[in-house]
This record gives sequence, structure tokens and C-alpha cells, in this order.
Amino acid sequence: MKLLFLGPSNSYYNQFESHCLKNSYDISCVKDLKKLKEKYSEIALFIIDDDFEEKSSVDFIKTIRSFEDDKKVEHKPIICISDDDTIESRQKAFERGVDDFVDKYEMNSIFLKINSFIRPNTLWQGINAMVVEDEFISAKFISHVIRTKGANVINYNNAVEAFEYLKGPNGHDVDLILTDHMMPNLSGISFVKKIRNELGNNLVPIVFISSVENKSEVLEFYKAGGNDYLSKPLIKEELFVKVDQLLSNRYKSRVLKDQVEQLENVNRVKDKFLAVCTHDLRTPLNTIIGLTNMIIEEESVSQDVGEYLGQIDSSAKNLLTLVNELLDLSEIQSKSNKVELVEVDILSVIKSSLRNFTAINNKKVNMHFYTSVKKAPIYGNQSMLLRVFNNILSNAYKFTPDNGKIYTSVKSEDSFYRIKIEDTGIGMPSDFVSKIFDEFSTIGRTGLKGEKSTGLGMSIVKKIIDDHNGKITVDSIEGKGTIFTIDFKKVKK
Amino acid sequence: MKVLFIDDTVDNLSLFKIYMKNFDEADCTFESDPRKGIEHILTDTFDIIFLDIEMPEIDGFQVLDSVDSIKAPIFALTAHLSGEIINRIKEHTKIQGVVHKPVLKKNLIEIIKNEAS
Repeated sequence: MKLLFLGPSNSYYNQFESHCLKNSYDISCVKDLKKLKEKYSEIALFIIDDDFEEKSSVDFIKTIRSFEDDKKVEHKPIICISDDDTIESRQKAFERGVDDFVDKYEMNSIFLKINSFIRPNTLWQGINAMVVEDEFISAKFISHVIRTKGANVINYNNAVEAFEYLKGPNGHDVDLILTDHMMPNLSGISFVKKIRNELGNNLVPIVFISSVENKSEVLEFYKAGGNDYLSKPLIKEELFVKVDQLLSNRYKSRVLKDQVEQLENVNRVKDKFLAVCTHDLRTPLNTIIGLTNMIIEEESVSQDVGEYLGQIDSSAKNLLTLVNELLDLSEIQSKSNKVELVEVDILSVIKSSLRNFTAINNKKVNMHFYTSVKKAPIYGNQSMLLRVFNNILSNAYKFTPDNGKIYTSVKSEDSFYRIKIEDTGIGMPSDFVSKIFDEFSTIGRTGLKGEKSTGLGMSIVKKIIDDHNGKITVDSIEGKGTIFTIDFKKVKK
Repeated sequence: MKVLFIDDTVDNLSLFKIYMKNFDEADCTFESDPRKGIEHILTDTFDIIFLDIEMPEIDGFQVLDSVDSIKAPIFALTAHLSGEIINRIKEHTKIQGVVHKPVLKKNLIEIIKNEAS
């Protein structure tokens, strides 16, 4: 069958052409309709590239339709494809007379539509339908109707045997079930319940066919897990429309499932890559930092050279910090589902972190600690929590001037512990505060003694606290200081 | 002092070689293959061993599992500052101490001098 593509002959068209070959369609590409009259009879369907048509001055759709009206021939299907799938463009296209509108890059959808117009009897090709109906004539009619669209049909006159088939090795291949209700041994509604609950199959669409217009029965059917309902006497078109809907939903969810799998794969690759990458990045830094330090310590160099070496050393250390933080962030991200939460005394974690600080407190910042509790058990991961407090305290320290103050307090509230870390540092402007926990927010700032920041530390802190089901908030006034408030739920005893 | 360095990264070993170049008190062996490292530990007698932890094929912990009792003190080399690995190192009975990477010459020399006395 021949298709006509109205648009440019570019790489997209080449892709389109190969899909046509796969679907046994002949296709030719033209940019204008000069030879429309000659070729018209051969063409089964038109594909119009909406983006191309907009740029050209001719309205293809109008030309085709007025040609057809002049000749008094039936309209051939026109499918409009576009990169701009919005309600507005769809409306415009339909107003001008297209039969369908599809996203340019959804090849499978495009061909499904093409098939539905010009090969309707293969619309459901490859679909396996199951019809469960004890009334012979109805069963024959329904099966026949479904077969005219190309699907395979398996027939059962009772639900017990049908269920056995679904339990068996081929059960998964059934794409659609149509079932009656009034049957001996196992009713339609019970059949549906068995499929959803016993078999655990929530994906296969089930259509209910019944001659009784009993609203409560229909409701029972939906409650049991059925998808749609057809009343007898069956109307062919109603069956087509409802089944089509259900099948296209099933198809779309399969596509989504594939995409999720692909994304999960990409994530795994990214994690592996980061792990390898950071290990390899660290190694040369070992040499740079190690030897620079050795030269500074042991060799007598001029003041200038000493300055240069100092710069090399601090740059290398900054790079190392960034590499470490990147690796930490990716490790935390990939572990977030596997974080083991055990009982941890958050008080001892905080004390531990504070102790680390007193050792390197060159600026003589006053560290104060208040608490009225002896123990503060929460569910968490000790090393991750230590990192949280190390990060927050190191920030507080970085941005607090000599002889400033850092107050840390742990308070017991009803169901949670509230931890506050308050400094008398330079504070942050309000637009910083709102972005502080964003990953890669690039709002890292230089510390008061020139310490460089990567801007990642806070996003690591937020991630860990989120994984602990805790809460963190920041308040800050420029020139006055910053307060971090963290809440953790108490262990329920 | 007989010193053994085991680190799979050749560049790290080069760095240690430079560090140890003019330090005559130490007679050093540098090994990049952890398997050969295990052989060294079993057959030779060292006064101090520096062992890298993060190695792809056989890591530091596996090296330690492969030798029963080691007389020489073992110092772990690692880039990690906290977390699971550090906890394992701290709790390991065969490990005497940790040297954090990037390794500074002065730290290395200090440890060797301490062990010598």
C-alpha cells in the first residue's frame, strides 16, 4: 500500500521510511502537491509534517480536501505529525480537516494509527484475547468480531477451565479477557476476583459482558477489579472502541515499564562510572599534594616559590574535596534505599562532632553546647549522621569570624528531638537560604579564611536527613548569623 | 627497619619511593600485586607494613585474612575519612593504625621512627 509523505526528505524521513519497510508500506516523499492529480488514486493515506507545512505557504490539507470535493471522491485519511504536541496545535489541525494527530517521534503510535485506517483487519494482530461465555451463539459472535481485527481468540464456556489456563505457562500471554457473568460453577465476578487476587494479575484488562442491566452487579464487577462493561445485545462498534482503549493503555504501560528499566540501567552505569572515576581522580592528587607538601617542608625556596607551592597545594586540596563530595553524594543517592536504620544516640554523635572541632579551632570560636537530656535515641545510621553534623558545624565555623560563637543545643519535644546549631557568623542573603539544599546549586561561597566551597555539602546533609525521615530548616540574617534546626523522631518505646 | 608497602596503584608506590629515597634507616620493598604482597608477608620478616585497603581484585582486608599471625605492625592506607571502611579498620585486630591518603611524607617518617624506638 502506498503512503505519501509531505515534508522534507531529511534524516527523520529516512527513519520513517525504514519503519514503513518494516510494516510493508511503500512510501514516497514530496514537498508540494503539483502531481497530486496524477498520483491521487495510488495513495492510501497522507502523512503531513505539520512543522513543514507551517513554514511553506501552501495549506496541504485544504488542497487535498478541495481536490477531493471537486472530484466528489471520499476523503482519504490524513495523519498530521508534529514536534509540537499541544492542545492548540491539535485543535488547529483537526479544524483544518485531519483525521489524526500524532507526536512525530512516537513511531509505534504513528504506525498503529496508519494500520487502523488502512489495514483495520490487522489492528489487533498479535493480540491474544480470551472469551469466557457459556452461551454458544454469543461466544461465537464475540470471537468472530474480535478475529476480524486480526486478534487470536481462545474460547472457554466456563470460568473454571479458563482460570486453569491463566494459571498455566501461557497465561501471561493473554492480553485481554472478555467474560460473561451468569455461568455455572464460577461466576464472572468471582472469576475476576480470582484473577486479581489469587493470581495477582492486575494488568490484564477484563471486560464484562452481561445481558442483565443490573447496576449493583455492574458495581460488583468493577469492585472486583474489572475494567469495562459491555451490555448485550452487543453493538460491534461499542466493543471495538472499548477494547481498543484498554489495549492501547496496556501498550502504553508496557512502554513506560521499558523506559523505567532503561533509566534504572543508566543509573547503575552512572554509579559505577562515578565510583571508578573518582578513584582514578584521587590518585594523581595524592602525588601533587604529597610532593608539594614535602617540598614546602623540606626545601628552602624563595618566598615567591613558596607562594606558588601554597597555591598548588590549596588548589589540589579543593579538587580533592570536590571529588570526595561527588563520590559521597553518588554513594548516598544509590544507597538511599538500603540505609540501615538502627538505634543511635544522636547526642553522642553530636558530641563526637563537636570534639573534632575543638581540635582544629584556630579562630578561637566559642563552642557552646546545651542539653537537658542524657540520651537521645533515634533510628539512624551513625556515620551518616556524623557527616551531617560535621558538615553543618564546618560551615558554621567557616563563616564565623574570630572570637565568634557557635551554640549547639539538643532539646526533647513530645515525639521528637530538636537540634539547633546557631552561629554568629556573616549569615546568608535570603535567595541563598532558599537554594541552600539544592544539588549543584553553585552557591558555594568562599569562607572567611579563603576556604573554597563546592556547594554540595548541604545537599548531602539534606539527603541524609530525608533518608532519616527528619526535618531541617535554615534561618539566616546577613551580618548577624545563621540557625540550622533539625528534628528527628524519637525511638518509640 | 624493613618496611613493606603494598598498594595496587603504581603511581602511589612511586610517591612512596620518592619519600623513602633519602631515608637510610629504612630498607623498603614496594609491591603492587597484593598476591605477591601476601607472599612477602609470609616469607620475609618485616618491621612495619603499610597496606592499601581499596584494591580492586583483592582488597586490604582479604590480604589480612590470608595471613594468620603477623608479627609486624600493620598500618592501613585509605582515602576514606569516615564510614563503613574506617569502622572496619578501627575494629580490625590485625591493624595497628591508619594513614589517610593523600599520604604526607612527614606522617610516614614519624610512624616509622615511632616503631623503631
